[in-house]
Amino acid sequence: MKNGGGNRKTRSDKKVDVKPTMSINLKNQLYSFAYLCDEPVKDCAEKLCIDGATSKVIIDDICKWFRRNYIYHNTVAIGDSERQKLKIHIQGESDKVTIRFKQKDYDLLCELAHALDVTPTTTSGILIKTTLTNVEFMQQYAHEHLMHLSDKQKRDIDVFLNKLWGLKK
Amino acid sequence: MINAIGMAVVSTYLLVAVSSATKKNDSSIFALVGNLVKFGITKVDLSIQNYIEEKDEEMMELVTQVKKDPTRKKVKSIEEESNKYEIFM
Repeated sequence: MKNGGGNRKTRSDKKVDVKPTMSINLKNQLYSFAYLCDEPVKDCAEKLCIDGATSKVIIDDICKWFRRNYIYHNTVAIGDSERQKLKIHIQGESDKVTIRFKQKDYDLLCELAHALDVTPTTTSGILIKTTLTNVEFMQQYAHEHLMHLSDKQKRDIDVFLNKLWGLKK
Repeated sequence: MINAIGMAVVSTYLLVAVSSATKKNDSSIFALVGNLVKFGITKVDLSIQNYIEEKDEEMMELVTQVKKDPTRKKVKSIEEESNKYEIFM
């Protein structure tokens, strides 16, 4: 649909592109996980970030880096401006992953980024790293999003995650 | 250690009980026995105290040894503390 001056109207539900940089290793882990979940990487990464940003398990894990307060689900995670700023290290080669957030979810990501005192892009990378490596969160995530999968797919995801966490099974 | 504490408690109780009898300064057999018991208990009490002190010293030596020995306890460096504020992605 064209506007008077030839400019396109912007969609009211337009998504925001976020392209976090991460190591090739982490990117491969995310791609493998998305493939096993039978979902596009964009959707899988989006779910991980949004669920992670409102998950008690993840917030408890990363609140040690908070420099400002963060409010989620009627809970306040206290930040301390005296803390050092979080440093991001990327091991080996790095690459970008494209994630598209709804405006509402992007705002939530921005709030978390504000608490961590880093950019929303970096925050999404941190969330992907912490969610994939957190056993308790992944159990909750599986119960919420992966129960529709077949037994074989569930078993494959289980094997993949156990390998990722260094657990033998 | 628990036995030593138990014995110390019992001996203190006996000491208090017998001292109340000996305070009367009578030369009865009870007073004599009381004095003997009092003497014995004082000796036992002293030996227990010495034992406890010895054990305390041994424990203190062990603690200082652990602090000095780098293989037993690693000293937390300042650098390690600062590493808390970083993430490897």
